[in-house]
Amino acid sequence: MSRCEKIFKIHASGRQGERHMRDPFIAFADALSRGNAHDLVCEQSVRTVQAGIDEDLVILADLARRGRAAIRLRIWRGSSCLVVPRAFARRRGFAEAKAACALPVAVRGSGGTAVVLGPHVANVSLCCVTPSNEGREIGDVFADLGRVLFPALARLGIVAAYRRVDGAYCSGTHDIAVDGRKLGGTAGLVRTMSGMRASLVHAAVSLTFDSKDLAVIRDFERRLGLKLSYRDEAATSICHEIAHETYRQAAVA
Amino acid sequence: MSAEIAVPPDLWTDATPGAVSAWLYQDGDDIADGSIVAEVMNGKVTYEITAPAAGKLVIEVPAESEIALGQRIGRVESS
Repeated sequence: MSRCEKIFKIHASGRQGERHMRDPFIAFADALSRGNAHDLVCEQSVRTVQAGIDEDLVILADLARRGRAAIRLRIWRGSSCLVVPRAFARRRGFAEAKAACALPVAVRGSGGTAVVLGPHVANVSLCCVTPSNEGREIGDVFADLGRVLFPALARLGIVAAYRRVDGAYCSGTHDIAVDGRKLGGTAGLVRTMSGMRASLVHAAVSLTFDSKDLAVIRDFERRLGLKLSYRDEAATSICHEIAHETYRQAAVA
Repeated sequence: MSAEIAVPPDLWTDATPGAVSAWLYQDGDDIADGSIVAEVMNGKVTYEITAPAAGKLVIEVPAESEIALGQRIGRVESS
């Protein structure tokens, strides 16, 4: 258990906190489900992270086959694993980097760079299918995800927004940012199937943050010949933010 | 006969460039009509490019090259 998680468990008390104390994943899933118009699928422990990733594409294909506009929200987590985009898997040196990696390696279809998933990360996936001629853009789907994520985080006392966080791992314009630190990352995939435009956007939200994750990412990307630099201080987590807010409120009281 | 593989001009809305992130087949491979042959990336979004016909794949723009909307990146040669 990390220091932040201990702080979280000790200090997240009171009427709202009781809900948070058991498991930040459950607290976040609960916050997502409240006020959410979409069906929420919740999987606390998928068989493997690769299976968890692949399931998003199964859902996407299933929705597309129905031939009408549809949307599906899912939250899941799995065991510790490095996840890389498919383009990484085609780079020279991938097999050697994978063999040397301290964690199992899974491959995703969406963009970005390497991330670490695990019990300390909540993955939120939004599958959206519309007729191809409706012209719905991926930016609209990111906005849909934000309309679900940000109110849920607010229910936990965290004010977040989409903003690029410089120095963060797998950084992009739709980073989930809290006071200039990265709470989570997002990425997307768009495919056309059965005459439908099928879009997947997903977020990996840190429940707790462990700087060892960054060490794994740095080492793997270095072995692929990528020269990306990250700062530990650019990252945060739900537990850290809630503990911070709890201390702040205690100080004010 | 050949059929062009191009990045759809409306794949994303702004004018920022993308990149061919990966070809899923080798140059000269036989591919089926509608199969996913390439991925292009803009920001952190991957867009899958499907084959417009069955035949032999000819790659014209290699992986990791920058591309613009509407750009031709390869073709399918059919007999």
